[in-house]
Amino acid sequence: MLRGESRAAESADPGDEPELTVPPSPKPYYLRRAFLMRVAALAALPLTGAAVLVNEDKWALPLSRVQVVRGKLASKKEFLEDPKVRRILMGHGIRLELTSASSRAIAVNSLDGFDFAFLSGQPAATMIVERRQRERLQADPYSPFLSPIVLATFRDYAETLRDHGVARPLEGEGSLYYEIDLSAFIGLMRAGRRWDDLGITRYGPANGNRVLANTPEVCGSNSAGTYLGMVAYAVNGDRVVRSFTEADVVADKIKPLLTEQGLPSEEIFEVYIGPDGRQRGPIVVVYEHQFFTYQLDRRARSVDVDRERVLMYPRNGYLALPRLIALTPAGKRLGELITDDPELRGRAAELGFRLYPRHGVEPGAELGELLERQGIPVPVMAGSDDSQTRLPALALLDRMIVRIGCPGSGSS
Amino acid sequence: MRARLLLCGVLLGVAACSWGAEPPVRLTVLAAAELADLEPLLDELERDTGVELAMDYRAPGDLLDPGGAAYDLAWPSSDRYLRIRLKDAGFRGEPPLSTSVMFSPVVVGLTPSAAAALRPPGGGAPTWADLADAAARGRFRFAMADPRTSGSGLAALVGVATAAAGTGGVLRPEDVTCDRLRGFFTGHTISAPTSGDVVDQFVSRQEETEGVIAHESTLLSLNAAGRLRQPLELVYPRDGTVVSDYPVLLLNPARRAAYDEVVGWLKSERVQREIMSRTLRRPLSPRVERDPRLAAPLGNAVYFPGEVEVLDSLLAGYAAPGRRGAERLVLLLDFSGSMAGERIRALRSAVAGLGGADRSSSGRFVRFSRSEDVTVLRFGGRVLDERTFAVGTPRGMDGLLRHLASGGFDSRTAIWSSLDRAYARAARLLKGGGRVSVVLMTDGRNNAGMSAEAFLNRSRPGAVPTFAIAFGDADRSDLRRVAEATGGRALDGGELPAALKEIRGCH
Repeated sequence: MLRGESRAAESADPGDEPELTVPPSPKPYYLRRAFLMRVAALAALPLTGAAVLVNEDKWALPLSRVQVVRGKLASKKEFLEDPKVRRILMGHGIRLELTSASSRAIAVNSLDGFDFAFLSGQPAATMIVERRQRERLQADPYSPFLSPIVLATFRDYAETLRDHGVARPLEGEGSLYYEIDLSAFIGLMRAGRRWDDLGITRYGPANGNRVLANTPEVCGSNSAGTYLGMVAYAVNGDRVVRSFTEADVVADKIKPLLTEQGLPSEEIFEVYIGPDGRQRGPIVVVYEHQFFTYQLDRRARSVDVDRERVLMYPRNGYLALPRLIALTPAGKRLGELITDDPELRGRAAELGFRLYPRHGVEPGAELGELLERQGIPVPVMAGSDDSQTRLPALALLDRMIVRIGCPGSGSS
Repeated sequence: MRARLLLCGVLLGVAACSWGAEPPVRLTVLAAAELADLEPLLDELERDTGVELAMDYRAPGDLLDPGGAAYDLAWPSSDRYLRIRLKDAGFRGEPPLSTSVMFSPVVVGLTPSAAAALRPPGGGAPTWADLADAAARGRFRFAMADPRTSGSGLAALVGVATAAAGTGGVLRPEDVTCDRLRGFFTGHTISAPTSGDVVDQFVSRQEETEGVIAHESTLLSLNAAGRLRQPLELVYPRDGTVVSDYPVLLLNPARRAAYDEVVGWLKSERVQREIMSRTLRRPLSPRVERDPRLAAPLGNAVYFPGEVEVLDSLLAGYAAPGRRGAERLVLLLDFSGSMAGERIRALRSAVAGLGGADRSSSGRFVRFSRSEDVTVLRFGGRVLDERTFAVGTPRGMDGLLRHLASGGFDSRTAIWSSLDRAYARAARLLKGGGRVSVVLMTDGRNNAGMSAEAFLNRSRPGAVPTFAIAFGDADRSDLRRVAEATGGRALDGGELPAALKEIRGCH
């Protein structure tokens, strides 16, 4: 542990602030320190660079008081792996040790030796809580923030879909945000329509590929799994899949839609915001917060808001409601911190998350203010978590995922 | 730096700050041969992070199945094949951690004269179909690494097969039951296990080769090295390119901390810029400003198939014996009176389509290639005549079309005796190597010579399929039975051009 830390400090670029806590893990640029520092500065929050830190008593904790808290993460790694979040936690004497897995794998496998699990959605969380309560084990859920699943795309694609009555701008012409009718979109996919046939060349470069939304690997990724649930809901006539038989029928129908992209690239969001994004996958299924992190980064570099890249919100709305489940007293302490600590809450907003409503504040108010300060249009912040009820129970979702060709997780 | 030392002292205690004296960490890496161009950067990596990468360069094919070899990391041009294999093997655990650090599309480098000749009249980039058409005509001879051992070769194969299927989507098993790539691969004159070897061979045979199919970075580096008489012009086929994304895989989970250091370093903006300027691969980081040579649009995305059967049949088709040999078609044509007029006109037009008149994408993939012969047997109550045409040449093609138009129709129909004759002919052709297939076209019922039953009892070369195309009153059940017994199929003459194209692609 010490060696890792010192090595990380040594490897930092000259001029950068040293890294206090952990070796850097592979992460996209927008989570890297340099950018985060700028975001921090821009957010007019106290800049807690190391030079400042070492003067603050709370940072000079004796090592014996640092508690290692072990967690299993399904998603929102961006939050707990964020260097600033880890620094803040270090200030509270907590050092995280994280292991990644998919929500469904976490829900069905042993959690021995872990202090908490961080899941991307409610079904898996419920499953764990129920199981542990049966076994009379600790399971305290915390819901600090949320982020909707969105279809990020380019304006020429959104406008083409609009021409076909599939999408509509949410705030008039030139809006960054559209609403997409998922059933109609799926209709285009199932009919095998190609972008060229839909008239993409009216707005941008030709594309002979079929209509498709790219997702990360559906077998392991939570955003892709949620997207699968959304597609299943639409294909099932706007009804939640409720039985194994129904799950099988629906899975067979949607399989071609999800396997059409073949083997996806892992870094779909980075590719999307890069210069080749339009060609490599013009519509990607991502979390809303990723888009805001990207736009905030541009503003931090005094670059204009990108108005070519736009978000499409599924009409029904699908909020991924990440849950931290504390399994030990140490995990409980972490859960309380990320729910209540103002610094951590501020940081979550900077990373583009909508904070879970509390004390009468509507969800995402903090994010809205941050976006507004940076001249980034604010999307509709209202939304309840009833979208969760449109997703099937975990066992049924798992059944569909396996049925479309993923290795089973052993749950059924 | 001062802050860092201060920090070290305050936070970690003096004992923890002796990193300067620690031995460097060493990770063994099974790497794609083409990554040797990163070697100079690896010294910097070691200096900056203390992690040494001990690279073992192999033909990337070796990466597909690392076997029991104990490496800490793998660094192929793509891990897609590995992921498919894992999935196929029913692997249930988490796949190895994989972080992509850069990417490069597989594109076509053309000599300037070939580029000028192959550019479509309307300008813009040629498609894979244009290239397949040119290859079949002998005007596009190219170098490409073997897809069985090379990432760039596999990506190119997927790209061209996807274009040939023309579905606008990922290749499915049903798209690759047919081999539409033979015409294309008649131009594949230089092959080698790795792209490096392919480039070397191309350099020494520039005179007789029109281009190289490889990663954009390989081709741009070749241009920059000044080894060519004239630099290659890069072509990004409009109907799509496959992108390799060079993931770093963690094979030994115990080395996670060092792995994180390495990929963190590789993805830092400075290093991303350096990778781009040294190797001409596209940086993953959207923040790095692109070298102008890396600004070309990639064309449609070609999605990499996720099903193992698809790749297996593509590779099997690539390796199939006889694929590179001459292609011979024996056309057994019913010359009874009822075939005259409309049906013969349709046949002429379909054959002309295969001769190059069909400009559709699929037409260009399945057209006759330069080395191809067609032997025509016309029959009535017996085989009336037999002639062979070199259909890859304009003269041979004209001769065939004239021959099909000439008269002399018979009133009797000896289908099975004539087919028996055609097989005798096919057996002789087979001795010359390559592949032979028979296309039988008839609109009548057998009223002379042997029966279908008798034909089936005769011995004949097993490797020659018969495709039976039925018009009008033809006895479809007999035709189907015999065609299937020979490994061929029965098709309907109502859609003659499509039927002929299907036969061309599917046997």
